[in-house]
Amino acid sequence: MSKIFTTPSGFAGSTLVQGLRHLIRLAVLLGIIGTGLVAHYRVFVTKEKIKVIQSEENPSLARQSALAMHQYLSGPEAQRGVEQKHLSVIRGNTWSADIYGLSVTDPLAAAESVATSRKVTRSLLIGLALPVIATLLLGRFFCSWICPAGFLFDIADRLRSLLQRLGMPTRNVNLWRGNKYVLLIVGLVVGALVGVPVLGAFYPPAVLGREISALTAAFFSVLTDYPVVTGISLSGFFIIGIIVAETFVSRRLWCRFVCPGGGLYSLIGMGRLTRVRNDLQQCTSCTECVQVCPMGLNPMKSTSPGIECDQCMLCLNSCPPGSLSLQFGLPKLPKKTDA
Amino acid sequence: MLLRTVGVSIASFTGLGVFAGLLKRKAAPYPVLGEPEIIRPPGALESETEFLSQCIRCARCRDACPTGAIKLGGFGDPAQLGTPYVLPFESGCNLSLACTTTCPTDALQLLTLTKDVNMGLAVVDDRTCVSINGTGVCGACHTACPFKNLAITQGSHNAPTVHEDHCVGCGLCEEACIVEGIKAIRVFSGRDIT
Repeated sequence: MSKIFTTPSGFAGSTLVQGLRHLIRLAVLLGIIGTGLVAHYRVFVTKEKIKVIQSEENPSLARQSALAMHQYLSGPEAQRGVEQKHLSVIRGNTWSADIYGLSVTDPLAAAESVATSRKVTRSLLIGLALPVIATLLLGRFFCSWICPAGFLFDIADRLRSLLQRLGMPTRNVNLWRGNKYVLLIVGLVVGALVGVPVLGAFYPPAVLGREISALTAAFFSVLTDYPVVTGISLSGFFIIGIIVAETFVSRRLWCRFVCPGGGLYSLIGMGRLTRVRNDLQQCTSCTECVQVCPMGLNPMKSTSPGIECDQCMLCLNSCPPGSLSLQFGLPKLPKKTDA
Repeated sequence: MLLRTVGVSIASFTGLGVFAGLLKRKAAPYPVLGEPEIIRPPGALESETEFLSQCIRCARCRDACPTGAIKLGGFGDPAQLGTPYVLPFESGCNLSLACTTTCPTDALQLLTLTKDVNMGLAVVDDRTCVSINGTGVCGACHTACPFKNLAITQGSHNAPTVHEDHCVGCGLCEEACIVEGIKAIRVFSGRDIT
């Protein structure tokens, strides 16, 4: 009763699936940019409306601005219901998003909020439901299928292999994998002591969302003549730093060794139902999968590559005898009888 | 292995502690007469420390705001990194309450009535207000006020008077105020900034 469903060999790891994976992550990245642009565009339209009202009436300056505010606030725009007006948009980023009214919150964000405020709110649980259920089923899939920072780090990975092909020396430093769990626990403890969430300030998906929306604000303030407080912080350089480090120092340095969010996803997805399995009778121990795995895991083990597997399915495609497959079933395997 | 874990723990504890200290730094907000205060969006938790601990800095309220009143703290801003705040002199809150419907952690609590909002209190500066100091007849703040004749009433020459029990601190009066530079009517939140 362990194996319920096995992917047809060659499908799950096919270029089609990989293309889909990259496409989804690109869509998420573009979605964050688009969300920021749409939000600021709506503000821009509002301000333009006020301007138009101001130019129509032309008494004193005081009457102008007062009339503008009054007409805008009591006009049809203000009388439309809150639900109708605000459900038709996507808000936020991968840290926490409101997609047409569906609330999705990163488990790390929720964990931090609970640790620092010592309060569990209803909204938080609603937002947690979808990510936690998906992670219980699919494991750490967020990292390879959704995370926009992971997409950028994959580009760094490509850059890295390009540099290697050109003969530039690149190092591959290995750190201790447990770092991410230590950082997760330490971050939560420090957050609880200080009362301010600290992990979210440098967790790449959160930083990326924040910086992109700040940059779109800056873009609009350049485009239009009204001033926008942009909220740009220096944490964007942190992402650039990680990309540089991943290109020259170590492959997927952040995701493999440091990322506290990835650590939390790994822990939640410990008993995941979908995992990569290796058929030991067909395996020729060629280590192709070990070389291709971006997480530096070993899928050749008969059980599964471990909790840190992010279900990118690259190993499935690389396997020459096709002994690796993606299986959906209960976590416990029956006793292996072969040698 | 134990030594390594302890070492990593101590190192990251120190690093994160310094980092948290940096996060907590506060710069002076825009130059005003009076104490520096940050105005949080509608429905924000009363206690500033509680608000800071519950807010996850996700920017959903900012994206929901139809008038762009909500700003997020960035480098050199008065508010902490990524936390929402309002600069009423630039853009007041039009009390759409969209931000309160979208907050994922209830740091901004759900509000359905605009009169329940408590962002602060508008205070008129008698020295600079055109209608009060006798240099003109204005009334912009009264016209902009969503609680006309309740929160702001007018005296002779349209001189405004703010009534504490009705003013929600939306800041539309501050935005509408015609006085250049530091506005004659300003919103104070009374939040404890530590």
